[in-house]
Amino acid sequence: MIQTENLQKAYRTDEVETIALAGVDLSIDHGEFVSVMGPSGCGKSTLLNLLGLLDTPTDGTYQFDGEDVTGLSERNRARRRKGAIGFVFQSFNLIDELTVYENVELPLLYLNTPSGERHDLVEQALDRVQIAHRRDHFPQQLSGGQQQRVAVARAVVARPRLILADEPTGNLDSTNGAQIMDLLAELHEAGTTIVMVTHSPADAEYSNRTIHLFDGKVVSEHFIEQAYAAIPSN
Amino acid sequence: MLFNYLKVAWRTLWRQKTASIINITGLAVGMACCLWLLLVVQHEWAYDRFHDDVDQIVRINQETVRGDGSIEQSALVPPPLGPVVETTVPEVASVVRLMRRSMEFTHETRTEEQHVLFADPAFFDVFTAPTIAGDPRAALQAPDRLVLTESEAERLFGDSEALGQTLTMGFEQGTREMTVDAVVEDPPATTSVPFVMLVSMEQVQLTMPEGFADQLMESWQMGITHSFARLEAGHDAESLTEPLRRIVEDHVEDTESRTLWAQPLTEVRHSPDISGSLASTNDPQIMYILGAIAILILLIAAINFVTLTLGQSARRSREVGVRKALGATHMQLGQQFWWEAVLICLLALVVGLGAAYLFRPMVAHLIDIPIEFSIDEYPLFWVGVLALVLGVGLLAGGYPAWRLARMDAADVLRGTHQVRTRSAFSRGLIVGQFAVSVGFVACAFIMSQQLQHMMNADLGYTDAPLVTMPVETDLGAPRFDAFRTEAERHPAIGSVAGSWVTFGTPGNRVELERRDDNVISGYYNQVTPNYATVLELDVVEGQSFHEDGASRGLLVNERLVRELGLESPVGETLTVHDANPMTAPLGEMPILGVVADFHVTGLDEEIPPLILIPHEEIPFGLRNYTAQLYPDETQGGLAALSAVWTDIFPDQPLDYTFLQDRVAEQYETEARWSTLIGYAALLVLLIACFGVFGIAALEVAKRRPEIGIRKVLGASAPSLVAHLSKDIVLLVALGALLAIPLAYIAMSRWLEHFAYRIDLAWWMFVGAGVVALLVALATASYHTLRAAWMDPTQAIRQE
Repeated sequence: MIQTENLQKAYRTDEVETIALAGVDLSIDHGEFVSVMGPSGCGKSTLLNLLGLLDTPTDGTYQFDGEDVTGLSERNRARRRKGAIGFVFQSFNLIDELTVYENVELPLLYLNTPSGERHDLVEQALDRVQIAHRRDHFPQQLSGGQQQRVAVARAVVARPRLILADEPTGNLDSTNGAQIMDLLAELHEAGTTIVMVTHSPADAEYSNRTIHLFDGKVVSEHFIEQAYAAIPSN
Repeated sequence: MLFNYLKVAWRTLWRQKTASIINITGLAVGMACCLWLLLVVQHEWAYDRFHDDVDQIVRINQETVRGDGSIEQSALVPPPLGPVVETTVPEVASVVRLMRRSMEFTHETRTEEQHVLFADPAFFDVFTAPTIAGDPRAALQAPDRLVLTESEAERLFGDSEALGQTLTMGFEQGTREMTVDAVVEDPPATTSVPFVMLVSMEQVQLTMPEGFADQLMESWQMGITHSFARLEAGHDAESLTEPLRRIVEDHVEDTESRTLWAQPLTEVRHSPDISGSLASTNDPQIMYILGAIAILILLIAAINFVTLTLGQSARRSREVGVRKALGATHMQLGQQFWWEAVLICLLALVVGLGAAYLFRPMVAHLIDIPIEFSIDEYPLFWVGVLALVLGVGLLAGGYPAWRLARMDAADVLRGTHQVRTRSAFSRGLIVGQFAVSVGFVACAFIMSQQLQHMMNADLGYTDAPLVTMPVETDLGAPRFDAFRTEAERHPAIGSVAGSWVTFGTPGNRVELERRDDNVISGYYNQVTPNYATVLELDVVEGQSFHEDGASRGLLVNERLVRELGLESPVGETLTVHDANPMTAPLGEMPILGVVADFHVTGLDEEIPPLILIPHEEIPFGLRNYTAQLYPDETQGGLAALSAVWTDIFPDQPLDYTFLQDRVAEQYETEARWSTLIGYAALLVLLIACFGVFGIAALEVAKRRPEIGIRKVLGASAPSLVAHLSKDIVLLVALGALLAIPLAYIAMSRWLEHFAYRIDLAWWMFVGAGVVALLVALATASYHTLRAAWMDPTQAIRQE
């Protein structure tokens, strides 16, 4: 599903050039659950942004579902992203002016999904993360855990093939964190490919492969057998 | 999707109340101004367009080159012109001559005065005035017939049938019984030929002194009638140029100095330079100025919208990032933010419409143009309104929408996106706002100074209260002595003089010739011999008139002496030329004395060469009495005047004005403009300060951590306020620098209209800048002071 070769990203200001990714070769298959770990500033989020087509690499190539998407324009990247990739962020990033229902509905609006179908999909997503009873609330009326569940519902509502999660439990306590990880694991079980950035070894245990980044390069990767099943959920 | 955009927009507005109120209020004020302008423009455009085939109606005007080279344009043309044009110019279908006279008439027991329009029967061929009853054309062909407008018929006769009713009308040559023979629809307010009563042109001669009427009506020398023509199809005003030139050649003696020309009726309303129009005219420049003010106010409000939206982009950036991550395109995001702008504009429009309706009478009074809110009559109005909303939405919403939509999603989500609340663009806009504000404040101040200068100027005659009273022309001279004797007997009245004209009009225009053919153009006013004494004019050479009228002669002003280059004016003989057959006999007269220049009109006009002539010399007599009262006894003086008046003129009510009030009236236009610009300055400054308030709030919010750190490091509250206000000082100063040269140019040009004016000084402009600066600093201080006094730990904790 994902193939990168020598993927590089540098940020330039007038005087300084910061290398965020220094050549990453990566291959992720359909149905995998991959964790990306590493210290702050090692390029984890940059890698996630590139994989999510939010940004373009400075050098190297990126193939998504067999198509070279390296040099796509902003408009084409938005088109590829829609419906194919779902995002979950550390700080939830719900839109304050929209209710729970409307936040989850948003990706479907951008996909021009007919309203009847949209309604069904949103309801299913809300049920799946068990937040349907809060559908008319605004984000600031919810707890952090609830907000992240809404964010997960929003990420999955369009049934994307890939979910990119950037420290999804980073702002949550352990109980809520575990609930979110269970949700991601369920999605993975159902066949969704997941790439997750995390600092937490416990969360990484849910995945079946962990990649370690350091100074913008992949320094190690290891496969985990029997992924999350070994860890009891709370 | 649109519903989603509007929903989010509405909730965003609700959440950001301060910014929303600032934006909506500012835009509403701007829109109200534009709506007024739109209504005024429609009103002005509608002038005279109700006539059928209005493009074929023209007015014939006369241009005269005076002896001093000055050119006078007048709508008044010689009476014989109309019939000559009608019979000799094939391009013309029909011509109507009009003459307006103020006539006294009696209906039942009530006597009143009304403007009567004397007209040829062709009135109804040239103009459109639908008949309600009777045959108006026939009425203008017969003597002693009246055509009334519907409202006038109703006013006079109520519900009873107007046709066949009679009014007794007082003509110069005796009273006549006039029968109402027809009723026509009222002309709309947008007419250049207003009328309530029409009478046959044949009878206009009865309004003139017997013996002069024929001469006047046959004279090609004097313009006393209006002539309007309906052209044959396919011809326009231009096609009359040659025929009119030939007519001048054939009939007018001084061919060189006179030109006749045709002007489309639709241009009449906007020709203020042509004197003698039947209805008030309006300077088209006023429309441009009003337009500029309205658009500037709207622009200032739109700038607030742009700067506040950009200022808030830090807050909105996360939303943009998320929406992009979820698949939104540039276009979709741009649309979303644009719809937000349109929603704000729509709300502003609702408020603006309400304000425009509520404050309409005040504004109409201020600009002296009626503002009709009959919106259904003007379908274009709604097109204009729609254009306004979409235009402002595009103008104010477009750039921020584009900027927000173009934010880089990865940057925003990574948190490295740099939001510049103080971009060069935003700062440029704020500088522009303050430039306009400072400009308006400076102009308002200078205009009020000029007004004060004119109101308080020494006009060259007594400071004591002067009361002027108009009297009927035929009674003014015969009853003057009786009135004066009785009035001056009263201890509260100082003295009484009589004259033809009083302050506001210099007099009748004449050409004055010295023996050696040195001709100048000037004015004369016929006065009683004590005129100079009562007004306390300063006789600088020679002497005033003898009370007993022993010596025949003139009093002249210093300007005349200068113009004619007289070294020893007293004793010199002047020849007075006047086209008016009634004053033509004046001929040669010696100069008795010279009076110091005094203002006969406002300070906007130069003092013209003027002669004062004893009223006995001229058959027209006196039209005004002027009484000097004692300053401490004004009320007693007025009561006494009233008693004397009733005694001498038992049939007429006393209609007096204080000359000082007439002086103020003279500057009504200037006062109105001064007030208008004052209000505009206030609005502009207010809206600009709204913007400062909003920007200061964003700025302080953004700099909270910095302020906290500065406080921890020992910064005092005043030093922090100074630090935070530095930017505002800079922006206002730049605005002032831009505004001052422009305001200087504008005000220099405006002052050129006044013969007597104040000198522009640097402090007037710098003062305006300081006022704008203080107001801006005071506005921002709400936020800067709060920031300076906040608990530093709070800010640092947030950091």
